[in-house]
Order: sequence, then C-alpha cells, then structure tokens
Amino acid sequence: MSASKPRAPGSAYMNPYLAGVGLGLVLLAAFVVMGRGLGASGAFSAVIAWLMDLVAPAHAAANEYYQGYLEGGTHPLKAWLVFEVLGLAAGALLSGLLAGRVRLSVEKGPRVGNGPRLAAAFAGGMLMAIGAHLARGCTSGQALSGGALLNAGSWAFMIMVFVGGYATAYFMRWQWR
Amino acid sequence: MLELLSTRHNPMIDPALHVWGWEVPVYLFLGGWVAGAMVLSGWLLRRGLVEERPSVVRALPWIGLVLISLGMGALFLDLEHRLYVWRMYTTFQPTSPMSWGGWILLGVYPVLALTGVATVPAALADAWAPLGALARRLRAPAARDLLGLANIAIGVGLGVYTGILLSSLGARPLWASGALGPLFLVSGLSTGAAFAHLIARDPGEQSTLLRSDNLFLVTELALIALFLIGLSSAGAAPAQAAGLLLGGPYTAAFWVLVVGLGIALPLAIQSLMAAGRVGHTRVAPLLVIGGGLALRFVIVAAGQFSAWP
Repeated sequence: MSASKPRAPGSAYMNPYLAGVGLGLVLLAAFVVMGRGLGASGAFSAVIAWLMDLVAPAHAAANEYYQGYLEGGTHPLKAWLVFEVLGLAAGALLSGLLAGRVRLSVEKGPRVGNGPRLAAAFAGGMLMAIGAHLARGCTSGQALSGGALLNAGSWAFMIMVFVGGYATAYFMRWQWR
Repeated sequence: MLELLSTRHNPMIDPALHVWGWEVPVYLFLGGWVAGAMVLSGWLLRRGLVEERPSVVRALPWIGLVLISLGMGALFLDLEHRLYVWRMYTTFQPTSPMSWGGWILLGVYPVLALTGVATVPAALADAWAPLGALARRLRAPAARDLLGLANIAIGVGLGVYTGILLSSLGARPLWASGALGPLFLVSGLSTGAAFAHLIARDPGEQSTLLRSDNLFLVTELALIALFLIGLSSAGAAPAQAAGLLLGGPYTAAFWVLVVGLGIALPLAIQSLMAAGRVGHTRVAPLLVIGGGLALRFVIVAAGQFSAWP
C-alpha cells in the first residue's frame, strides 16, 4: 500500500467532535436499519469460534462458549457484527485514501522500536479482549450501543474505561514519546 | 404386515441439493480470470502495444497458464470418475456447454503458450536461436493479429462458457438466466484487468487498466441488476430464487462481499484514483479479485439452494 500524495500533518484527520456526531448518526442508522447496535469484539469471537470448529470440531462442540456461536445451523461468520467490521475496514480504507494516509506503518512515538511497541499493543489487545469478555462487551458494544440505550451497566463500564485509561496512561506514555 | 422402506439407507438416493463444494466456484473464478487476461492480452497484441506495455503483456500468458492449470486441477478434484476424463475428448457435442468448455479449455493452452513466446524478452530470444526464430515469426504483423484474435475469441468463449455452464442446468431456477453468461464474462474481464493493474509497473499502464476496469465494474453492476430483474419477473420459482439474494439467506454475503466490497468500493476508489483525488493503491484491484471469487461462491451456493416447487 502506498499513497503518492501525503498531505501536510494536521490536515489529515477529521475534526473529532464532527466525527463523534457522525459516529452517533451511524449508531442510530444501525438501530433503524439492522435493529442492532454497533460492536467489534463479538466479530473476533465469531471468527475464533469458526476457526476452532474447523481445526478441532470435537473441542468446539464440547465448549459452551463456542457453541454460543456455532449452534442454530447458520454459519458463525454470517453474523451482523462480522459484516459490520468488514464495513468498518472498508470505510477506514476510503477515509485513509482520501486523506492520503494509507501506508504500512507502526503507529508509535519516534524513540520507540517496532518490537516493544508491537509487544505492548499485543499485551494491551489481550487485556482488552479479556476485559471485553468479563464485561460482556467492548467500548463499542457496551459504551456506544449500551450507553445510547441508557443502560446503567454500560455507563458504569464507560466511566471505568476512562478511569482505567487515565490511571495507566502515565505508565504507557513511553510508547508515544 | 410390517413394511420397511430400505432404499433410504443407500447414499445419494434422496436428491442431493449441495453436490458442489469449493472446487467448482474456484474453477469458475480462475477460468473467468484467465478469460479476462486472454481478452486483454489479445487486445494489447492487436493494438501493437507489446513494446509499450511490456510488464503486463509478457507476464499475463505465463501466469494464465498457471491459473488455468490450477482451475482445471480444482475441476478434476470435483469429478466422480477421474480416470474417465479423457472420454470428454473422444467426442464433440455442439448442444452441450460442458463439451464446448472441454474443447475451449484445450485451446487455451497453445494460444497462451504461443502468446508467451511471441512476447518473450529479447535477451531470452537471443539466448536460444529456435525460440528467437519462432518469436520473430509470431511477431510478424499478420501472425500477431491472428494470435490476438485467437486470444480474444478463446477468452470470450471461456468467459461466457463459465456462466452458460450454470444457466444450462435448468433444475436450478437461480441459474435459469441468460444474463449469467455475460455477467461471468464481464466479471472475468474485470478480474483480469484488476490483476493486470496489480502487476503493471508503468503509471500510464496502470491508469489505462484502472479506467478499463472501472468500465467493466459498471457493466457488471448493470448486468447484476438485469440478472435480478429478469429472475424476479420470470415467474414464481425464479422470483423465489432471486429472493435468496434479496432478503433470503445469501443476501448479506451477496450484497456485502460481491456488490459492496467487490464492486462498489473498488469502483469508488478507482474513480477517485482516475480523478487524481487519491494516490495509487493496490488495495482496489485486490478487492476486485476478491469480489470475483465471492461472486462465484455465492451464485454456485445459492443456485444449489434454489429449487422448483
């Protein structure tokens, strides 16, 4: 992937407040058109359940968690969240192309190597996945979709996401310096 | 008296709805891809663009040979009696699309090989005198035009046949459409153009290929519309079959993977590229190729799901 005309720094990102309003409208459209909210981690769970069923069907059949995705006769990847995440990638690609930002890179601070940054991102992703399963949803499923429905649990989740973020930011900022 | 119905214990006694797995869609996809590459090669040959467009025209025939062999390998795996495949070539049945296809596939190999020789780089032609002599003879204007025409004729035949193969099977109402032949041909053309775009090195070459791919993608959208309108207005069973893609179980895969990610998104990106609004990216042709594969999988799977009442 390459972009021949990178724009000046600062102009490549959308106004965050406008993007927030846009995301809210997307969420509203998802409720109206699909009758479902937005989510992300559920799509990865469906992919994992499908792969597990391919590689070790006996194990997947004996596991209650995987069965949640596999039973019912429909293909585990034929799920709203899987298609939504595909759309997410498509929209991100189009937006990145329009801003001239599409290139292979590791997002990090200038003084950090790729290895430590990728290791930290992987560890963070693992913690996020465990957290999303404990909370039965991630920032999009709980905070966005649940928050829009005024679920008390979702609001508690969102507040704790910010608490956790601010509490650990000090220890993680070396990646961006 | 106790009567037992024992025939049901025999395999394949009940009508089997899903007899085609991954092999047939993969073969149809690779066949269409090679068909598109041949039409493109033929056009470049006849326009005398061998010297101007070397990276594409030199690579396509050899890659085409590999792809058609992989496709025929997939088809071979699907056969029930693999050792009898040679019997296809002891007869020619003009009313059978499968017989046409068998012979067209046989014609693909010499035409692609001769095109590969005709476009062989000078260094290679100089290294081995007989190869150089053959290449020079094939590059003579009359021979080159004839070779170009053969590429286009066999390419169009191969591309249309991959669709007609399905539409001649009247037992499946989703495939009972005359639009399927042109749709698979144009999808193959767009896959071929996208692949050529992917391997092209020269910016001018890339620009020509992405513009022609955009034309193929727009045509493909129109043919998909005709395909669905035709089925929807052709009686109860075809309308019900079209419903599989219009609200039924194959709707999400068809509209998201084939139309959305395989046609509309790359068309949008390539139109912006053609207008100079976004930089060059190889993601768009990759999406087109993925969309071509998804089209074959969805049409073959949904077709086997459709049935006359």
